[in-house]
Amino acid sequence: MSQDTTVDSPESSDGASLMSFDTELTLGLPGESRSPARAPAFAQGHKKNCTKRGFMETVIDLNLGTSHISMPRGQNSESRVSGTGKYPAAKAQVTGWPPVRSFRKKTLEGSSKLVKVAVDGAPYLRKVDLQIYSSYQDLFRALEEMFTCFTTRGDYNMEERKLTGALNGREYVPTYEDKDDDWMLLGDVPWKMFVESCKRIRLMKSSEAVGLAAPRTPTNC
Amino acid sequence: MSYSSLPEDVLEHVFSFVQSDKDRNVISLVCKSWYEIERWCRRRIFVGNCYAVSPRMAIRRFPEVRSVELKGKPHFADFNLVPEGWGGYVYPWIRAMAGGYPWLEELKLKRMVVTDESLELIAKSLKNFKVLVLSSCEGFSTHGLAAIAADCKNLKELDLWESDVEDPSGNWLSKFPDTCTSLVSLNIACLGSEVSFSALERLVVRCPNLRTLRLNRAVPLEKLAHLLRQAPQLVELGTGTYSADLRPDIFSNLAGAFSGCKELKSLSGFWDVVPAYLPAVYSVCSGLTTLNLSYATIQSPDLIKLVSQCPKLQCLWVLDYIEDSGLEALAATCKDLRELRVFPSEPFGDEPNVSLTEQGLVLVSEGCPKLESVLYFCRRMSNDALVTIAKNRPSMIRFRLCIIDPQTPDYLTLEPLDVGFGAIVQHCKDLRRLSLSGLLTDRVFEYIGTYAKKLEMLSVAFAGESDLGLHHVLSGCDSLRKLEIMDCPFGDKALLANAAKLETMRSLWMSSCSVSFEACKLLGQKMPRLNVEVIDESGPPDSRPELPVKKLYIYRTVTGRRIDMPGFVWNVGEDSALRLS
Repeated sequence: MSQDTTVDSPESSDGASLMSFDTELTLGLPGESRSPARAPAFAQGHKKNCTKRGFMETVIDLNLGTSHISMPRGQNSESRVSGTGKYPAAKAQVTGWPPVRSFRKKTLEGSSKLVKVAVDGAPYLRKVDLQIYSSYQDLFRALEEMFTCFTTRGDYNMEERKLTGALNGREYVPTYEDKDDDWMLLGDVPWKMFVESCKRIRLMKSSEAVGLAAPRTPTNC
Repeated sequence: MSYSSLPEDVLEHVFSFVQSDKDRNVISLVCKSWYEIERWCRRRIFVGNCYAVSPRMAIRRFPEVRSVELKGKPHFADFNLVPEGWGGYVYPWIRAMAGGYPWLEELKLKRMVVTDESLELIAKSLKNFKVLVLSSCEGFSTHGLAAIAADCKNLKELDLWESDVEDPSGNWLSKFPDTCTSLVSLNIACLGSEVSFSALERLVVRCPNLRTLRLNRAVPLEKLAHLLRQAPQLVELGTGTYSADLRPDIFSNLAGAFSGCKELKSLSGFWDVVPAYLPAVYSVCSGLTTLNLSYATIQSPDLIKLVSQCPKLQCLWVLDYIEDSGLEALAATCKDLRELRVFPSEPFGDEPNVSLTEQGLVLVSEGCPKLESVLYFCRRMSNDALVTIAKNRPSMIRFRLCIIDPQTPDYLTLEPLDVGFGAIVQHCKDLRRLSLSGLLTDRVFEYIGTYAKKLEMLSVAFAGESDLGLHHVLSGCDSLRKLEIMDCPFGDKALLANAAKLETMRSLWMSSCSVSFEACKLLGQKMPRLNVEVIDESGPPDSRPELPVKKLYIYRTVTGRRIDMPGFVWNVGEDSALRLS
C-alpha cells in the first residue's frame, strides 16, 4: 500500500526522508484509520517495529482525568500521521497531546455545546459552541463573521452588511436539525430551547429552502 | 584585612541579604568556613526534583531552614504521561521535617502526592506553620485540609492551585477556629464541591489581612457581592460560577460590591460566564494587572469589551475565543502586557472552531513592547510570522507554541518551521524556556544548539529526524536543565555521546522515542550519579530488548536509586538485575 498520500508537498525540501515506512496491520479500535506516515529517517537503521506511536493509538478516559490505558499499546502499529494531510474524521486521541492539563480539559468539557455548522457552497464545516452565545442575534453575528469569506459568487466583500442581508433570507436560510431529526428554521423557538435541542446547523441556499422558508413549520414546543 | 578574617556573625549578617539560591550556592563554595556559616543561616531551600537528594541529607546540611519548596513528578505528568503510582510522595519529607525542622513555616509542593496523613503530620508537628502551597498535587482530601485548618494557629496562606482534592462531605472550612485571624491568602478554586458559605463568610470577616481569595465554582454569583463587601481590601479575587438569572438587583448589587474593592489587581474564576454580568467588574478594570479568563467561555466581542478597559494589564490568560480580533484590541490597549497565555477551547476538534491564527500573536508581539512570556495554542503558523515575532520581541524569555495538529508545516509554504523557531532562538538571546511544535527537522535543533545559550527548559514533540537533533541540543545548550521529549526519532547515539551532559541537568524525559534498553543499561552503568528509570506498564523492559523503551526518565541524584519505585518502573543502574515481583 503506497504511503505517499501523506504529503501534499512531494517536493518538500526539508530533507526528511520520505521513504515508505512499512506499517503492519495491527489491532485497533473500530473507526480508527491508518493514515500513512511521513517516514522518519531513523527508520532506516532500526528494526521495523519501533514503538513510534501513531495518533490512532488509544487513550484515555478524559472524563476521569486519570490515565489508565484502555487498550494494549500496539507495538507494531506505528504509523505517524502526517500533518500536511487532512486527518481522518475518526481521529483518536494521543496521550499527552495536545498538552492540555486534565484539570483544564475536565472543566471545559462540561461547559460547551458544540454543533457543526455547514454552509451550502463552503468548502468545509465549522463548529460553534452554542453555550457562548446568549441569543440568536449573537449567533448570527458570529456566523456572519465566520462565513464572510465563503459568500458565493466570488464576492469577498467582508462587510457585514453583505452577509447580514444573506442571513436574513436573501441568500441563505439558517436551519438546524433538532433532537427529533427534523430540520427547522432558526429563530422559531426560545433561545435556550434551541441550544438544548440543536444538533447541527445548516445555512441553506434560499433556492433549496423553499419547503421550509414559506409556511413556518409549527414547532413542537 | 581579608574576608576570611571577618567575624562569623558579620559574615552571617552579610549573607542574610543574599536570597537567591544560586548566589548562596556560590558563596558556600568559597571556602570551608563560608560553607559552614552559609549552611547554618540558609532559611529557604528549593529542591527541583524531590529524588535528587534525601530529606535527611537536606536537613543535615541546612539545619535552620524555615521554607521548603519541593517538586515531584516530571512536567509531562500534567498531560497524563506518567502513570499513577509513579512516585513523588511527600510523606518521607514531612516525616523527616517534623523532627528536623520543627519551626518550619512554609511548604510549597508541586506535582507531588500528598496524603491526609502528611497533612495531619504537618498540623500536629509544625507549630509555627504559616504557608501551605499545593500546586498540581493529589492524594489528599478535605480531611487533611481540616487538620491544617484546625491546628495551624498561625496559618497565613493556604493555596490549592489546581490540585486534585477528594471531597468527602465534611465541613472543613468551619474547622478554622474563631481565633484564626491570620489568613492572608486562601485559594480553594480547585475544590469540586460546595463549602459552607457561612463558614467562609465568617472566616473572611475575621481575617482583616486577607488579600487573596480564590473561590471555587460552587460559590454562587448571588453571594459574591456579599463576600466582597466584607473584604473590600482584597487584592486578588477568584470568582465562583459567574452565572445567574438575569436580574437587575443582582447586577447592581454585584457592581456596587466590585466598585468598593479599590485594591483589586487580579481577577480569575469566571466559570460559566453570562456575558450580561461582565460589566459588573468594569469599575475595577482600570487597576487590573492580572486577568485569568481561561475558563470563561465567552466570545470575542465580550472579551474585547473587557480587555479594552484594562490598560494596566500585565498578565492575561484567556481561551482562544478571543480570536485575532481580540488580540488586536489587546495589543492596542495593554501596553504593559508581559505574559499572554491563549488556551484551546477545543483541543481535540478536527477543525478550527475559532478565528485565531498566527496573526493574533504577531499583533501582540508588535503592540506590546514588554511581552516576554507566551503560551499560545493555535492551528496554523508560518515561518514569516515566527521571524516577525522574534524580531519584534528580542526580550522574550518564555516562548511556548502549540500548533495543535502535530507536524503541521508552514501553512504558506508547506515547509518545516525550522527557520521560524531558529529566528526565535537567534533573536531572543535571553530565552529560558521554549516549547516547539509543527513540522520540524533536525535543522531546528541545530539552531537551538547554536543560539539558545540561556535556554533552561525545552519541550519537544513529534519533531526531528535523527539522533543528530538530540545531539545538537545536548551538546550546544549550555544552560539546559530540563529536557522533555515525546514521539521523536531520537535514540541511543546522541544519548550515550552526551552522557556527561545529563549530570549537569535536572532531568531528561523521553517517551515514544527510539532509545534501546541496552543503551539505558549502559548509561545507568556508566553514570552512577544518574538514576536511569524506565517506565513500562506492560512488563519488564528487558524481556523485549529489541523494542525501544516506552518511557525514560533520567535525573541526577546524590542518593542513588529510589526505594519507592512501583512495579512498572525499573532503575537500570549497575545492579540492574530485575527485581523479583
